[in-house]
Amino acid sequence: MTHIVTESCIRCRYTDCVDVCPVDCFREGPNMLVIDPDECIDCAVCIPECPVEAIFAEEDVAADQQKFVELNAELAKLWPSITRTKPPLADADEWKDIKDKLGQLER
Amino acid sequence: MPTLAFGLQFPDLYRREGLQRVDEAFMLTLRGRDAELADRLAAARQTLALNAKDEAALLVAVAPHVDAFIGELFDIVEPLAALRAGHEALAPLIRVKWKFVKRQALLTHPDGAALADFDADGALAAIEQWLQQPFEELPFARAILQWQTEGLEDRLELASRYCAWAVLTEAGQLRHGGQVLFHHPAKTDPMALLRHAEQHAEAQVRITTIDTRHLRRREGFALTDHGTDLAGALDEANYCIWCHQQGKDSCSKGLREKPDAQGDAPFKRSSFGVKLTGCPLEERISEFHLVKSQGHPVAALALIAIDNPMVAATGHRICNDCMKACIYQK
Repeated sequence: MTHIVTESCIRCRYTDCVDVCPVDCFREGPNMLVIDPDECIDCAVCIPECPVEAIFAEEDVAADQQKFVELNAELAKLWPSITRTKPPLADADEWKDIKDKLGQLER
Repeated sequence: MPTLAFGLQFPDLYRREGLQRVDEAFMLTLRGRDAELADRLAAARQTLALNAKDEAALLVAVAPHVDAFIGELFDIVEPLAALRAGHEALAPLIRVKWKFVKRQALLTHPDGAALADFDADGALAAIEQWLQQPFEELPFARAILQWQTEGLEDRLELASRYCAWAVLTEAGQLRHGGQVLFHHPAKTDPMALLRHAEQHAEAQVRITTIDTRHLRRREGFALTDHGTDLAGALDEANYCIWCHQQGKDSCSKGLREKPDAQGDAPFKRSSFGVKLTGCPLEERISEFHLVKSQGHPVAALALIAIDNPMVAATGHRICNDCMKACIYQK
């Protein structure tokens, strides 16, 4: 069991979650974060930190977000570790309420 | 006979009626300090309907008032204030350990082998010159916070490399191994718990021994572990994630598998097949760590005693089921 970053993170990447993770399991992509399922200890500290409510326990991921379970595992192997909060993407606030952003994901 | 505050007597502590008077005195003082909190506590006692998270939050909120009440009851306000000041004085040590050494130094310089040529003696001399005293970790921690405020990046970079050297290299551990700043948790391979065993031959017999630095000889019935000091205790309390706030305190409630289709989530098992059920008494470990970290040691003890009134006898080390079921073990 792990936690999953879902679609809401795309083009926002606020990174508030990163600072509280006790095991540094976040990975940073061009416009999204993911969680490395092999590193996550399932402590759930990150969930309330996300301003766009993008993080869920694996068993709580909505049906239309299930693809992100695999995406987190796949991209975590490709992207570098991020361990400190940084400024969000410049237009993050414009994208935070937009749904169906998977097409915007940059690898 | 010494007396207690609030018109109470020591014999009151040994009788139910007396303890009821102690409780009445506590509720009265709590009401005077925070009436809303007193109402919440009284309601919770009456209904017994709080869920685990709300109950934990209520107990943590009451903690400072327990410390204050006990201080007044036993006329130990000043010693308790001194102890709390001791907690506060050590705060830079804890902050620098987790925010600078772990989150900066060890991430920037993760490879101990790459630090083999690092001039640690030269760095230490420079640090001591900046500190204007021989190296001690608390003044060093305070200085790092000051250098961060002043943006002294050259000093911070050298301090960062020195910290990584102290944590990651054998020479560094020989110099600083017992110190809070430089003692960091590492992953354990359950199938190689005796990695530090040494082998040598004597009279053509191969002898395997534990590293002698780890040997602790038992003398009579005395414990081989002498516990820790305040800095060590605060180090542990702050290593804790306090995950009762997320309902994830597996140290207390056990580490469970992912729920199956029926919603059943059996306890996980360790690599040796042992069920990870957490504390057999379900002590509020996460909660008392949090309260201890906030500088309320009496309340932290009180939180333990809710579930384990025998803590004075059993508290040091009976089992380690909490450690085995800690969420870090996942």
